[in-house]
Amino acid sequence: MKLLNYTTTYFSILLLVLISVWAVLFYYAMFDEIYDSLDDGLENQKMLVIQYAEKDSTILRKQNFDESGYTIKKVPFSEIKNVKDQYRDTIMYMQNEEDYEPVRLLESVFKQNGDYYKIKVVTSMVEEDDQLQNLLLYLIILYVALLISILLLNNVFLRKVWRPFYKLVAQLKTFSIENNDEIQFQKTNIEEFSLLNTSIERLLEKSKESYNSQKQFIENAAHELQTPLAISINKIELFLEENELHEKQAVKLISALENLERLTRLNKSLLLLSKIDNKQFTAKDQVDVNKLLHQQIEDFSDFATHKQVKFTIKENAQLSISMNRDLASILFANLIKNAVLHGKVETEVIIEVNDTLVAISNVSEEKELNSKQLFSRFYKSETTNKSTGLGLAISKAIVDKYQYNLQYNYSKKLHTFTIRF
Amino acid sequence: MFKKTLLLITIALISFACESDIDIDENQVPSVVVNALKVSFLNTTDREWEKSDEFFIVEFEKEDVDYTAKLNSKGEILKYKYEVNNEQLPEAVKKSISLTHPDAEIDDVELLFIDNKEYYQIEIEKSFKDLKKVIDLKGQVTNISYWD
Repeated sequence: MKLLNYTTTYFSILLLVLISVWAVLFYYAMFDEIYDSLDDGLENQKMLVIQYAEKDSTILRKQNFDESGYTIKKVPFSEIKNVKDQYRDTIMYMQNEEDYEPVRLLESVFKQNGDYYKIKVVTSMVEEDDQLQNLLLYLIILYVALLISILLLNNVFLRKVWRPFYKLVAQLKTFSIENNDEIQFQKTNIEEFSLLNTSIERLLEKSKESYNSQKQFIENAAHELQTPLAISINKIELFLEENELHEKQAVKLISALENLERLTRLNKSLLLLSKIDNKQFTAKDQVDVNKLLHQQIEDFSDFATHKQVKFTIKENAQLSISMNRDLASILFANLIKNAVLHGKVETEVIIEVNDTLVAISNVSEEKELNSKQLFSRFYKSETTNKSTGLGLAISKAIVDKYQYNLQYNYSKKLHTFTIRF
Repeated sequence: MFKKTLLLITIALISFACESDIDIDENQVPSVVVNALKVSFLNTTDREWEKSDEFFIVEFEKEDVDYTAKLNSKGEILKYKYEVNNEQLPEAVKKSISLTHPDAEIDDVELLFIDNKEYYQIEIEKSFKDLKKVIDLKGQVTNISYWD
């Protein structure tokens, strides 16, 4: 759940409860107020009638409500000794409406010249009824409008507030230090976000710096190693040629020679990686992939025979891509070499060409490779120790340089590397 | 309505210590009694009722003056009183007090009505002792008991 929705959800729930409670309270308070004002009006009317009765005693025998809205009836004291003022809702037949209408009625008792009279005062509640209904309706409308507007505002506003953060996160998702990416920081007035921005900026600067110096170091080291390695190999070869050696001595020297040659290969690979990283392969050619693959199969045929695997090439299309020729041959050579190297005895290495991809697969008893670390430098499966562990890293670097896609798949002992152009 | 209930609660809490008098809400007082009061005293506010035995005592305000009245259950006003200023005392009354109680200070003065007759209820302070008297308009001390 997004932080934004999270807060908004909580807020809306809180708001719902708050406004609901408030609406109920408000409705009842208004209800009360309306009744209060009705009752006050009745009380007033009652007092007016009682005062008027002192001047005009004819109204003391008024039996019908008619237009005046009150009746008076003489009663014995015993009957009303404990009668308290009483307000109640009731219905009465209204002449003008020709229907029964709700009325509020006040019943009270007063004394005049030693006699006791019961008085009833009524007032119509038609308008008040409508008022209450309207009130309820308006409350509901207000409530919904408030809720919608607040949530909308909140969403719009919060979205705006969080924009720098989401922009930053989106950029960080695709950020890779190898591609020399730059992060565009959004201007923001929010302290936390600007702090985040500066922190990330600092962190990235540091990482870039150390990454670059590391790259530089590897490059320089590889460069500097080239000459002493060549000299050492040369000297040992001369020594082997010039001297009659015992077999034991010769074996030791040859082993040293082999290791030196492996070191040379490693060095070359490292240099190649740096060169790719530093974009030193700028020349582009139209490479005929099918032709190149046939060439590679030819080159690796001795090796394949030695490893007892066979090549099968399925050409479903003629594929031609625009890239550096040297890099293209390195890319395919690495993958084909790997396939042959890890292929099970007496199986096939299958090379498939479509109009957008090349897939190279081999059968192997080895379990699925770790696709997360597969393309990192010096990654090795447990079985080999002769490889430099840089082949796949180089392939990946080449593919990344041209923004192609290199994928590894495994199913039922079949390891497949697919390059999509 | 809410305010009323609140007020009632506060009053009920404050007037916890009353002897035989019970505070009651106006709508618990018989209509005859309430209407009798309202007819006799128009435009009253802040009416507070007490019931003691068969009688009703009501305190109220009218034109910013505090009144107290006593009614029976038939709606007859037996007596009522309200506070007045010392300056409003008739000369005769002032004189008689200064004669009977020299160097005394008059504290509270109330005008008391019983059966349409006027009396003055006076509280006198003398050497830290309070004396309460009911005096008629001529300045004569009566034997009417002081109504607190």
